[in-house]
Amino acid sequence: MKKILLFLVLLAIVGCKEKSGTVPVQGIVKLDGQPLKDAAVQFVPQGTGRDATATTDANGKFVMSTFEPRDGAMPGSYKVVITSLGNVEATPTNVSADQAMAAASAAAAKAKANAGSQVPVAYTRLDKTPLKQDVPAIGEIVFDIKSK
Amino acid sequence: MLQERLHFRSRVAFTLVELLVVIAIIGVLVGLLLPAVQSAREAARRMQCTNNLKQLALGCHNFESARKYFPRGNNPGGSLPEGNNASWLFIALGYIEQGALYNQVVAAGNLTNAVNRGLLPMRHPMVRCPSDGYATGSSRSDMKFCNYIGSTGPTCNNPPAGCPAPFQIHCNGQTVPGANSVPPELNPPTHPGYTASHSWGSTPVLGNTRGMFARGGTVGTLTGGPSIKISDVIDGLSNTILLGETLSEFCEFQIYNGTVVNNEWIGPGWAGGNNIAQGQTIQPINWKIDKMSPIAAAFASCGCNAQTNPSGDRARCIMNWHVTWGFKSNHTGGANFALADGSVHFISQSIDHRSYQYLGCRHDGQVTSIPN
Repeated sequence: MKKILLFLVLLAIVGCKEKSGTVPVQGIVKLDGQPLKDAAVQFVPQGTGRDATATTDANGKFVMSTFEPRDGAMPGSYKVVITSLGNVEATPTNVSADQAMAAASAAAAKAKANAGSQVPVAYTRLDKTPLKQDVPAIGEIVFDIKSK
Repeated sequence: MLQERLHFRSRVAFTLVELLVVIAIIGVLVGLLLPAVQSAREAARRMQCTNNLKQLALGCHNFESARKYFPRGNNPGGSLPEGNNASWLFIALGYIEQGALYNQVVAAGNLTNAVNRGLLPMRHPMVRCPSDGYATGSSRSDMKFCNYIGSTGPTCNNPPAGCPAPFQIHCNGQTVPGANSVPPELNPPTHPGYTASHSWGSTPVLGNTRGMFARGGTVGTLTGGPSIKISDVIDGLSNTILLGETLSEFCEFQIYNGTVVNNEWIGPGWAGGNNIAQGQTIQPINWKIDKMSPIAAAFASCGCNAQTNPSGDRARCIMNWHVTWGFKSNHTGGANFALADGSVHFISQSIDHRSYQYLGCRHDGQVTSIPN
């Protein structure tokens, strides 16, 4: 009896589990051999599908997300775009989103200068990026990009 | 004698094992039935949500019949009902026999008077999806939310400094952090058929508007969005998204709309402002971000902190405008959308991202219909 109940409970748990179809993808971004922090990594499907995104941590490591945080990417072939987010400075507190937008506009040129100095333009553009990745990937992915 | 006794016993009572078996069977049946009942309830809520969208789309069409163009997102210039910053949602209600509120607000002269007289913000069943249980209380700041927003299509957003803009390539532009302009175009474009839109979808220029709505300016600036005619919907009304669903707990412009009075944000809510025309297709459907706090957190850049970015993923940071304006719902696996022909469809969140952009853009030359 207990076994049957246990079996039914297990069946219910398995039956309820949602299938999103993603597989875990993680890796590290290096710029000239050094881990690159605060870089945005994006997988763009070559055929049909959904983008996967990630941001690198202080050690240059990233975990891709598609539907839920850190759930990975759908199987398939992707082009990879990597952009540096520049220095994340604490901007002054604004009282409304409209004000924040205006402040952000003023800070735009500065942020662009910061971001542009790290990753070469070729890696930041979908039409020029040489990086490609197949999912599922074997082990940890390493994107070692060169600054020139 | 013994047989008789046994026979007698079996008739007046169950054994413990028999009782357990019965309980187990009932338990299994209830276990099977409960999820079915719950999903039937959700199906009913979703149907009501579908009906609301249908009515609002009809409101837009009735407006179009009268004026020969679709309602603007908002227009800060001019006077009520079409100007004075009234949202398309408010205008649409006036065209679907919801005239009581509409006439009262118009009679008040302007939205500020309507707020002062207590007419706005107002809870209206037709602007909320029953599947969204957020802020359903009776405080004034709870009444300002809505679940239906106009589509600005594949629109660029320039995030604050330090925020990633992961989906910018789908608007075919290379966004510049913070700048409110048309970004430099990608060559070749990610999706052929349309050029980069104006940042944040805030433009009076038809040529920079990709979807069926543009955000007008804010109070103090006199620019409204362009008036879009049926002939401007080159892809066809059946192939272009008009309205869609959102969850206000993820929309900073809905949360922080108005002024703070006794720790509550008081303003016209869904009836005014440019926050009701900010649905974009570049973010995938149901892209969940960190929830907004009901009282304003610091409006700042995307640092990883517990206030604005508890998930630690800056592509889900609440201050990252680039990711906050997508369509979202609590329905499993997708969201409801009204197309420009007035039909309402449930679109799966796993829709091919390219098809989704073509559905959002009104003039890309790609005739895409919703996949089954």
